Amino acid sequence: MELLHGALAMLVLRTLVPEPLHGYGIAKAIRSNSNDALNIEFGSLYPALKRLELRGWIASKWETSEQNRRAKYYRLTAAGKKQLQQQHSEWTEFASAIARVMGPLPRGAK
Amino acid sequence: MTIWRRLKYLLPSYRRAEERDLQDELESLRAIAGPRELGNLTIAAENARAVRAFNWLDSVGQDVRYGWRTLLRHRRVTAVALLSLALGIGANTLVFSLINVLLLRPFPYRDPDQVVKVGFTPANNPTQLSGLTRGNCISLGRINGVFDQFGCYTDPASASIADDNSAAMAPERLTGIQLTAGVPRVLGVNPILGRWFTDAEEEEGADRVVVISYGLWQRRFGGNRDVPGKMVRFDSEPAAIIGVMPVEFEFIDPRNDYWIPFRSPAYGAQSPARILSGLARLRPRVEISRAQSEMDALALQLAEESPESNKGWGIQLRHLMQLDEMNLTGQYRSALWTALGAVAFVLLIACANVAGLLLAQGTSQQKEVALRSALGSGRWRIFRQLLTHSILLSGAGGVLGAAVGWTGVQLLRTALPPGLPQAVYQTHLDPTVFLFTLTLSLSCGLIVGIAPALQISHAHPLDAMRESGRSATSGLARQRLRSMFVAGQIALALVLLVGAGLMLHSLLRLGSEPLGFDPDNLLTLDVQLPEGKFRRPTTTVLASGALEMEIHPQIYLTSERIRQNLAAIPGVIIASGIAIRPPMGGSINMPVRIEGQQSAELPRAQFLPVLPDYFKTLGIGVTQGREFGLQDTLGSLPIAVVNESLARRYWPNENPLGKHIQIDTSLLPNQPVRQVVGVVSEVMQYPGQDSRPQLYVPYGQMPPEHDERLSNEFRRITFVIKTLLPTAEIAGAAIAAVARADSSQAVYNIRTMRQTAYNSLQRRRVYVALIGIFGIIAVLLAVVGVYGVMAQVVSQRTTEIGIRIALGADPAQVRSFVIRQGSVLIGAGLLIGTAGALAVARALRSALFGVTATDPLTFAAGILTLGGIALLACYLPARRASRIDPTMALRHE
Repeated sequence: MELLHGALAMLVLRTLVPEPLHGYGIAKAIRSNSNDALNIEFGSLYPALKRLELRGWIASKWETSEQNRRAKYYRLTAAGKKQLQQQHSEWTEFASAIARVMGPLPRGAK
Repeated sequence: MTIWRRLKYLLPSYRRAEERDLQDELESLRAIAGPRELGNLTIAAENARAVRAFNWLDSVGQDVRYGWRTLLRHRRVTAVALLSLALGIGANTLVFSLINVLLLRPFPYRDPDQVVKVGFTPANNPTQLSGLTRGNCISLGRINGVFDQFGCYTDPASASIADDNSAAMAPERLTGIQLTAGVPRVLGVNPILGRWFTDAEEEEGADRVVVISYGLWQRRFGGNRDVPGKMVRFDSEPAAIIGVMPVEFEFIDPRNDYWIPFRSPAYGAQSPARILSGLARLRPRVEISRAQSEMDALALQLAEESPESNKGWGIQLRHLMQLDEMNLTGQYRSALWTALGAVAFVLLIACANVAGLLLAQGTSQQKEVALRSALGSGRWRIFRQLLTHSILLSGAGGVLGAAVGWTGVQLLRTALPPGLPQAVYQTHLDPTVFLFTLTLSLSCGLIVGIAPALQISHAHPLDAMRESGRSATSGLARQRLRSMFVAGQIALALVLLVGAGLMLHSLLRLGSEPLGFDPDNLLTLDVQLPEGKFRRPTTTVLASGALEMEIHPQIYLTSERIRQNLAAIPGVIIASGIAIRPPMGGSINMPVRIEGQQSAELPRAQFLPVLPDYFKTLGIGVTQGREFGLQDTLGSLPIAVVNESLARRYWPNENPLGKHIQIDTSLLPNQPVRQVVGVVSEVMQYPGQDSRPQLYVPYGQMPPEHDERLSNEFRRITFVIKTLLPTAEIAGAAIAAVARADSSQAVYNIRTMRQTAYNSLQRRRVYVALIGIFGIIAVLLAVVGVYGVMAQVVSQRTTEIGIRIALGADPAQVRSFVIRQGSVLIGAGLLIGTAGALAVARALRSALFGVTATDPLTFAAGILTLGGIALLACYLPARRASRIDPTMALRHE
């Protein structure tokens, strides 16, 4: 599925709201939260993480996981939260606008 | 800040740490995730890296490294390109340094745009800026509403300077001006040593003081810091040197060596003589228009106060910077622009060379470029990379060029004759020149790089791959472009060569012009008969506005006694002299009334007052009548000798002897009607003088009444002696002979006539040499271009030529095949160049002498020389082609 421009960043930020995750964890979370509808390739996700980190919206830290494995965990920063809020409202507005236009299809339209 | 985070990536250590971190992270994730779940991690890492740094900055660094490697790999090409650029940019730096110093340099005064020249205008001609009376100067000096400072000065005059304790050093004749203490304040220039004079020192009876130039200080006083306070004899009177002006201070004439207070008793506050020029500094923020309206009011007021000298006179203010006569360097303008044109040609040729080389190099890079573009490298990226390479090249060329130009300036300075503005001899590396060179080399890089870069980066990868295979004709488009460059180079070089040739031809013609006299065994020495003793002011004001001066008749006796003393020196054959202008020293043209001529405007003739035996001493042919003798004095019949030009022009087919002629000018009132007693052949008073009427009068027969300025020159006599003895032997005796006639006399400038004749062309010689060198450089560069393109043709066609040889073509055929190709290029270039040279020569016409702008000899010589050398440059590759081994050639890729 083709993602809308900038949507990947939004998804990453949203995914990190409950808890910090490592790169693979983020990919998994997006997949499961979308009921497997969004299967983001790691090759696209990873550069996006770096871009967000460069912007200062997320920060990373080496930590040890429950399975006692070392991994780099990403968490939302204050700037990231602000960014998410803004994108969130923009997105809902956008999505509802699209929904209003699309509406339910009248019977007979093919 | 994002930018800081990005900037950190420029640090190699940070980048390395970051890279390690990235690898660690991906490694750890690989351990956590299932196999294949992460996909291609190499691409992920690559894309992640791309996010981080300044992408473009990164790639510029890559481009520079790549460019550098290319430069090093193609050492020979790089060397030729650098040499071309160094010569081209160097020549431009050299000429621009001169232009910078002579033309672009602002007036060497503080805030020159606030300085105005103040002139008085007569009622009938409100645009003619005339001088001020002493009274005007005093009135204007009191203005303080619109003027910050005000000062007056006279025209340049001359004076002698000698050491106080007589013979310590030879006396010297100097030029300088008299001015009021206000002038340096107007100009905002202070002495570097000592002080300027005060208003009180302008008063009659104050001690005499002199401010001297930096040049005189260095030359005569060895730059001694004790000079202020030193006593000298200035025009035979004791005076104190009180200050030394800075080297860049030049005012009215760069040759001025002294400035003295204006205090001629002849010009009192009531004198109507307008012999002064006014200079004012406007108060800050005062517009010239406001000052002008104030001046208009003042003019009316002055006319009311003293109508006898000011009635009808207006006052005009002009910005100093808009007055050409105040600009010391205007006369060099056209010569310098011509030189700049010449070096622009040189640079274009050099650029074409480098562009050609880059194109050729592009051929060998072709495969690489094609491969990269096939792998997805953007055209823009490749274009940029190629351009970076050429800019690197020209940057290095610029550095070398600056060095070449700088060396050229140093060499030129030593060759320049004296008398040019000081700044020229002091030329130093300055930021303007540096900026010029920098801009020049960078634009060269762009100009030179764009065509080849476009050409190469836009080549279709498939074509490129195909072409670099076994194709007989490769890179046709590129070859065509390069051929065009070469034809253009030849054309430009021919234009320059012909231009330089015409100038050289003019110089040779000037040098071989008959002097009209025999310069061998002639020695000249200048004497300046002292002020005060031989002339005194009268109260009459001449129509010229200057005061009439009266020459004391003693001057004739003294000059004659000097002449006779000189002639009596053992070893001296004969001696004479000429006043106002020395032989080969130019001339003053005077209007003359000629018997039988009735034109509205009086014809002019060179005015040459000479002592007895002048023609005999110089070996000037007297074709009719007689020479002046001792008997021709103020009391005898007024006579004159004319040259053949005058006689032929005004009395054709008539006997000029016995005709009458009269000098008619307000500079010399009371000139008698003179009877022509002799005709002489034409004498060159300055190089390039066309056939010109000349009028000789006996020095002893000049009436005493003179214009002030002319009388100042009248007391300057150049004595000429004919002797077989060497200068060194005669000099001491000559000085003694002059001193015996009048002990207060100083002798200057003892030199041979040959030297004077040679020096008269020195400036032109240096200039022609300069243009000539540019011409030679242009030819060399163009020839390198021809060689380069032909060598490339041969190497690209090695296979084809090999086949031809294998099929039985003999070496001569192969050679002529290559040369024929070259001659087409050369021929086209010469054709275009001839047309260009005709146009340029037409523009040069005013600078030429004795040759026409279309001189067939010069054109033929230029075409043959350039064509010949260029063909020779074709011959070398042609010879190589004829020696190609077919078996090797067929293996050649």
